[in-house]
Amino acid sequence: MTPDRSRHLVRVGDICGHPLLSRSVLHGVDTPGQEAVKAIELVAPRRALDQPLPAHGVVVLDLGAASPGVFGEHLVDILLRRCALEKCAMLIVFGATMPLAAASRQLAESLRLPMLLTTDEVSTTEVMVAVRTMLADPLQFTGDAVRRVAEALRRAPRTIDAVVDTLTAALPDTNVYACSSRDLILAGRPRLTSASQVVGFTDPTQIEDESVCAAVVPVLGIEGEPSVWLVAERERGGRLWLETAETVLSLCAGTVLAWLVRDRMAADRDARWRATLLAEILERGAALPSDVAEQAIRAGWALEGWHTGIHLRLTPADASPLAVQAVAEQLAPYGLASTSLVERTDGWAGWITVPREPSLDETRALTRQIRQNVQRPPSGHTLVIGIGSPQRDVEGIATTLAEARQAAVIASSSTREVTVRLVQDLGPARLLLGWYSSEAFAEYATDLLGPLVSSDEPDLLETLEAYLESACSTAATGRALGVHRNTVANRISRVERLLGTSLVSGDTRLALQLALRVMRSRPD
Amino acid sequence: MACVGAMGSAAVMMEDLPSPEPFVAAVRALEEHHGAIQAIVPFEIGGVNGVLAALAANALGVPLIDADSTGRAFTLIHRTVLAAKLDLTEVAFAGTSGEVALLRGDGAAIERMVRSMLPSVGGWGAIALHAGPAQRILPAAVSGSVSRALTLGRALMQASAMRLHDDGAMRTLFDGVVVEVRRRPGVYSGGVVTVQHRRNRRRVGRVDFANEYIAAYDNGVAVATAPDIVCILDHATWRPIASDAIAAHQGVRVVTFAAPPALRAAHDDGFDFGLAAHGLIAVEAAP
Repeated sequence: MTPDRSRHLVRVGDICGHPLLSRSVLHGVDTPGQEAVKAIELVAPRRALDQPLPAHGVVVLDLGAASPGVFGEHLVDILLRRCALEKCAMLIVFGATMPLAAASRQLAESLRLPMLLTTDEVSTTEVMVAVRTMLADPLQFTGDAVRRVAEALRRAPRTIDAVVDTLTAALPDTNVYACSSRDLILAGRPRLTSASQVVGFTDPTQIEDESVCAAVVPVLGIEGEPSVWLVAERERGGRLWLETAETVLSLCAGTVLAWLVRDRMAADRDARWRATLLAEILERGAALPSDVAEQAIRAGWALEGWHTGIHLRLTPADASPLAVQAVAEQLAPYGLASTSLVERTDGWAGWITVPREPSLDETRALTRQIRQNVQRPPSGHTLVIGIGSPQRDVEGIATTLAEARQAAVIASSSTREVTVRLVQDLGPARLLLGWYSSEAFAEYATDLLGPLVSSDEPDLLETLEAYLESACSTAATGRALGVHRNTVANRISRVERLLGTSLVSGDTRLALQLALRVMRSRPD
Repeated sequence: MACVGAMGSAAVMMEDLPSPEPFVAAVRALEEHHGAIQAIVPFEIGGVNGVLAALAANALGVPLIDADSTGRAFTLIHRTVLAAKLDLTEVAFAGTSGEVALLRGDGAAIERMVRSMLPSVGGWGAIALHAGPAQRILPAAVSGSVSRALTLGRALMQASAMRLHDDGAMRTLFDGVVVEVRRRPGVYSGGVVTVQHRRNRRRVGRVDFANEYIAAYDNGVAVATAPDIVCILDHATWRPIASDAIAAHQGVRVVTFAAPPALRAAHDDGFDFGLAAHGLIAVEAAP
């Protein structure tokens, strides 16, 4: 910030948002506003009528200095009127009993003059000194915050939480958080703004509206796209606070990028090591060499006991590692440490270990809890969780993981955002597993549905799927899609025309439904 | 002659209508030291005290003097024009059940003693004070108070704004609806009445009170302050509304009457009948 930009940087909002005054009550206006403040003047109660008032200045009235204070409240009305006439920026009243008479509050409102009633714990002198300093040298205010952050950065905060803590300490009365997408908060918690409000910004931005004042700084990630947004927000603030907040947030961008890179590299290295380790366990089973078993324990994996395999698929496959981690963390309460997940070709695998054999009811209860408690994935993604049956000791790990993967494959044919399936409850669907994993059938399915996929009516594929799921009832399909059943009938006849076949035949319906499921389970 | 009036809660008096006995008892107590009281001066022309003096004079069978101690309502018994000129050193106090006390001391001490006795006698009591010969009392008192009150009273009886204005003394300051009455706890039953203007909703009136209405502001401009008399009248009936009866949603007119000149005159011992006398920080009314 150049000294030139710092001129008249102090606004009414900055005064109202000053740490000494941020708990005082604001009257007259809903938001402090951005009128520039140029001076501050203390008015002696007995000279309320004739003491000169500074234009564009803050007028301070200390009723506590008069004795007894409560009997000077009529001076508030007189000063409000004078402040409006002499174009003062605002009035600060010390020592008034709260709430002030409606007459004073209404007068401030009708004059649209910001009036602050201070709390008992701040003294006039403190505020006068603080505001005078701020007016005389606004850059010092920014400089203080910058110095505090720079000092903290010297100790090299290693995590995003530490960066947010540093910023919170440097900006008093301010809420700071970091997010990486609409639903993924990395540190802190949004209070006044929402993550969806800030993730669109590609440049540093200042938000000011009726209830919030916020600075948003996007941090470019490894790919050169904004991937983390740092946000500082508070209810009251002015130009000076916004500039200061933006400056100190920007100061942390490098540290955040370093964290991102470190995190990604550590995750990649870890993932490779785990994948190798898991391959050994699956391959050797009971004949596991002791050094591999030791490494498994270091990875947080239990080898003895009853294992329940879990297989996660987050589509599309290029979902951010941060998003996968967010899902994994939600499974921690069920005994699956987020750090023990292993990346496999079609998802992420892990297992929950208990000392004695869980009953089918207990496994079902686990499935139900996960289904109820796992939050939906970031928009545009679908999350599938397959759960295997409990198996014993090292040699059982391969089996339960394979089952969990099967359950996940079948669950992938669902169109819902989150699907959780237990292998024992797949029922007849398990028979279809062979079809889902058959490359030859997948090719046939693509050919079969080709005319619908390439047609310029995307509704047709969806309508056919809903029609088959609804037992070929046009009325039920219409209800499911929210269209009239005649529309469904029309679309189905177009489907039949495009495919050159008739849905009257049971074989055709079976083949088409299988083809649709297979296509759904292979998003690529 | 002596001044006679009542102190305490007007609300209690409304429940238990005053009889002449306490006033007679208070006067008799003064007579033991000063000889026969042959005429009564109303102590305070404002409020119920104006009528009580007539009641006492009638019961004692002596004339009522057309004067009073201050020419308006006031807050403290030692803050009157009379007390400014003739020190208040002695008050006879009588409760409603025959209790009588004779108090001596300086004005502020007597005021404190009487206030502290009020709860023990049921909320109000009669006082007789400023006993002395007519040639000493009358030049110090505010004369013509009773006849002025009667003129205003007749005008109010006819609920005629015209008659009130004809008198030339009354000025309407604000015409609106009470939106809030804020009472502050403490010795003075003080507070603030906020009035919204009847036609211009952005115009706000403020009336400060400490027992009596003492200052009126129109959008932050002081339009009337003590010692001038500020009254709040019911918008429809023109009846005055006392500070303990004012409430939100009442339609009101805020009016002012010029203070008797005696209240404006400088007093030797620095007596001030302006806002400071009521505890408020003084400001001057806009011309």
